[in-house]
Amino acid sequence: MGNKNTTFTEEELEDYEDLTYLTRREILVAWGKWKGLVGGQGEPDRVTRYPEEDVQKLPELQHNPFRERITRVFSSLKDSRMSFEDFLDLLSVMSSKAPLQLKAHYAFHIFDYNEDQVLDTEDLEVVVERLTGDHALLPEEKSKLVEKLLEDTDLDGGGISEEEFKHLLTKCPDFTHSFRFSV
Amino acid sequence: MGSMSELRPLLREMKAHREDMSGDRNSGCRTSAAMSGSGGRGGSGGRGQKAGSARRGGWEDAGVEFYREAYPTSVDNIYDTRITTLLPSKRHNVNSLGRGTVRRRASQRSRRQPPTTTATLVHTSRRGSDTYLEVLPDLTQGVDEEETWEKLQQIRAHAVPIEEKRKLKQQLQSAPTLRTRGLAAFKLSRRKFFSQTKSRLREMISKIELWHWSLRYVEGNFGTGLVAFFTFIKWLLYLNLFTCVLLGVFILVPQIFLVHSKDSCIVDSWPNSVYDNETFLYENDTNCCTKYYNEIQSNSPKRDNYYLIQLVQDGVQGTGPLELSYLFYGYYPRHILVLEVAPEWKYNLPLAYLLVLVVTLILSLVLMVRAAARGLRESLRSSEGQFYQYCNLIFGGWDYCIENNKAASIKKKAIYNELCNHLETERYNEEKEQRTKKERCRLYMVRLLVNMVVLALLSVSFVAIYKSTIFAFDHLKDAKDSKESEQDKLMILLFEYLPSGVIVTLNIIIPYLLRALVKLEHYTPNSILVLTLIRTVFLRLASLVILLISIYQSIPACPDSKPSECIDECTRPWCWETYVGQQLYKLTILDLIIMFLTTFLVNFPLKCIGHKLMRGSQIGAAIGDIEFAIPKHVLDIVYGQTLCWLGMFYSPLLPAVTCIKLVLVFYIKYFDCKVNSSQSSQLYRTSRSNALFISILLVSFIVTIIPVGYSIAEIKPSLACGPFRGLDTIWSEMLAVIEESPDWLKAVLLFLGTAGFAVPAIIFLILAGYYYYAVAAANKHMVSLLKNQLVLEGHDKQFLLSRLNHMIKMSAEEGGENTSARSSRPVEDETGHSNDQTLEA
Repeated sequence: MGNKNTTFTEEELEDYEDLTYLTRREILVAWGKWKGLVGGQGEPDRVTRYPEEDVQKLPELQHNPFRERITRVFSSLKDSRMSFEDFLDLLSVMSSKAPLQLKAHYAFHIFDYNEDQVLDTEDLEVVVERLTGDHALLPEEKSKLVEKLLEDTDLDGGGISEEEFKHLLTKCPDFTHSFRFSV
Repeated sequence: MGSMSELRPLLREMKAHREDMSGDRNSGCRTSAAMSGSGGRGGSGGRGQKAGSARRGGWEDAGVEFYREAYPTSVDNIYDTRITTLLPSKRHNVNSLGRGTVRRRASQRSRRQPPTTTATLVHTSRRGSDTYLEVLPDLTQGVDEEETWEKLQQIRAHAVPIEEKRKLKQQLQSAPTLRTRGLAAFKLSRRKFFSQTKSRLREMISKIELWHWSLRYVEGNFGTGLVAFFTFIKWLLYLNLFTCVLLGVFILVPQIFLVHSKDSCIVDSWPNSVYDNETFLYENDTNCCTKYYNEIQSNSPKRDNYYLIQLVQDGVQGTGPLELSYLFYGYYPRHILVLEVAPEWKYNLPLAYLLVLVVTLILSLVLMVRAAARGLRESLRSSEGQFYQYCNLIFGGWDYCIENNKAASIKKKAIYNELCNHLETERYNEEKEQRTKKERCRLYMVRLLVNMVVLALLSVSFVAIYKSTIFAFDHLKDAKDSKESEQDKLMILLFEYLPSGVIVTLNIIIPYLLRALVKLEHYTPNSILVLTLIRTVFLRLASLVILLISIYQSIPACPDSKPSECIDECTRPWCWETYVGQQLYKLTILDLIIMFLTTFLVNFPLKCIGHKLMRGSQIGAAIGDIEFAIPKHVLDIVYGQTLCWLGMFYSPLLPAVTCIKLVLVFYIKYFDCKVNSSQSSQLYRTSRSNALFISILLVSFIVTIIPVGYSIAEIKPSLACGPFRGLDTIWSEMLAVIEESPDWLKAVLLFLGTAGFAVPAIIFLILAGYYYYAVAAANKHMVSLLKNQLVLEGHDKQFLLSRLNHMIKMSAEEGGENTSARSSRPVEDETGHSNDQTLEA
């Protein structure tokens, strides 16, 4: 905000502003948080990739049941490490200005535990399990729930594809409200 | 057809894949289908690079079934996946990202190429886990500046890492663009300017956002459902501020700064007066009344003992020096104000008073309807069917902003509860269908009984309010007339607060009873919530209306006496509008005090006792665990806002008072939520909450319009005070202005009031409503038809894919047999060829 930032040039800030949905202030705050998260080993810079576990210490991610999937999906090289730019990507998608389609795309990949590009029974069962945490539903209740979900949303068999998922999310108004956080 | 050329490399690849299948599962198959760039044009084919060298292997190694009767539900079949990546529907995805936001320009675009032809750059990964496709931008056509700029704006919406977006941006910027000239250039620069200013404005506004950190705290620790409640308070605050500004600019500022005309009051008039102009006499008398009233107010006996208490009491009740202040209607004179510097510019204060209030109410209605439409749209979408509620819960149920372990576990529990609720509702529905006739009868009898009990309760409370108001009013008159002894002072105080006290007590007791009664009725949890809410809202609003009615009753209309007898035997207060304004003002302040007391003197000690002193015990938990019940708090807020709207006409500064009150209320509720309450185990969904709050607000708005409208149109304003003194009704001011306006305007406005306009207008509205309903029903039917068709198409696709796989397998096996016989020839080409032949055949 008002602090003098010496780490980014004007050009870089503008560049980030163009490429993400974050404002200048948010980018600077994000940099501050990033330094806090990974700054254990020396002065962090923008391209070094840090292990996922460091990023998962972010307060909003720490208690999120899907945190490993989040860091995996947003890691650009899929090497269980994230760079600052990946972190900015994460914040950009999670900001309130990101459109539904974009969020839906990433949410689909986050929920797709077995990474087969469809949300099928196993994916959904894991999702439900993570959501309810310690209070687990009985297995038959869980399978009944998942079955009902698939039955009503999966139109062509083979699990929920990304297009179906995006269509589905337009009917879930709570998604836009809840799939966001800001720094 | 391009598909053959696309299949060829695919087939070659399949062979390479076969060997890798048994090995590295993480590679290869996971083509991110969503990332494929598009075409329709030119050379896009699946091009994955494999790190390992191609080893020989047979289809048998793959260990998957290829020919299945059933539609494949798992994707072990890599060949399925490979083929499916070529399907047009899979390639469609990324471009739909950009397209949605350029919908506005689509009409202009129609003569140009569709946006799918331009660059969608995708990352090619050598790691092999995700294979993307790289498509070069088509630069054969000139891309003009506008398109480039639009694409640059939408780079953010692409679902690729920042590196890729940066490359894309550089490509777009370095691509040769046609310069736009003339009008188009001007329009483009204007668009750019607007979007830049918009984003800068937004950033500035977000910096000065009110209560940002408090809301973040609530968000992080309680979830977004509660944030919706506090956002609602913030929204109401802005609405009230808007109202304040309007009232201030059009009523207060002229009143203070413009020049008033002088009121002449000629007291001693000759019996056979020279002035037999009746209007002059009438005006003279009203002026004298006013003068007399003002004198009485300012000369009221100063009670020197307990000066501070007197001050506080006056402040809370609006009596004393506050009565003749800008706060109340009575102070505003019936003058036509003029500017000091330009005496010809007249400002008709009474007309302004009336018009501004009406316009403010209309604007508030418009703003609320807009917010309500948004909220209702969301909540309607989610209530389309039971399954969408499941989806809403599972995919949208987790708040990603939670930062607190405890909140996270509570949230999980809440989701679990809600899921169980849903399952139970299903069971309930199933059970409902299986109820025997006898049980159904019994249940309906019970419900009828409970409804009658509820009605009885409500009527009893209304009667109580009415009776107490009349009682207090009568005794107040008596007590005031004999205001000698000290004891009477206490009685006066009691009578002053009796009506408000009764209302408050009823508002506390009755909801408890309602909640207990509704349990007997065996509804679903959702229905219980809505029903209790409706009943409580009814109670609160109706008690206010009853209060007003009783005030109206206790101000008997005086016989149409001459104005010179404004000091007559009628027991009317001098200025009944101010009196009403005072009552509502008093209720507002009382409401605030009660909220404060409840939070700090009731809930806080309960929590301290429960959690600190009796820690660990069950009783302690029962006492100390106070949930932050959102519906109750919303009703408090809506009640305060209703008071504001009711009193706005009689007390123009009441919105300002309500603004200050809302700020204090925010902090009180925030303290209540943060310190006193334990986490709620009920899931409050933002979409549903928004719709609920605004609907209740709308209902109460409509209810308040009725008394205010009636009093404007029917009741005679007091002679001694206010901008409308001497008129028959307040509305006659408006009528007088209409009379003086030009003929055509007069004719139009008068026509609007007749039945000749109203009846056709109503019929037209009914027809329009029916038309939209019919269109919606037709659309719904269409949607279900299309859905069925989609399902069938999906089955077709699966069938065809499996056949295709089977055929490829057969031909591959044949090719394999051929090559095993002829070992010298390289395998790939042969099988490639033979496969092609089979397919082309």
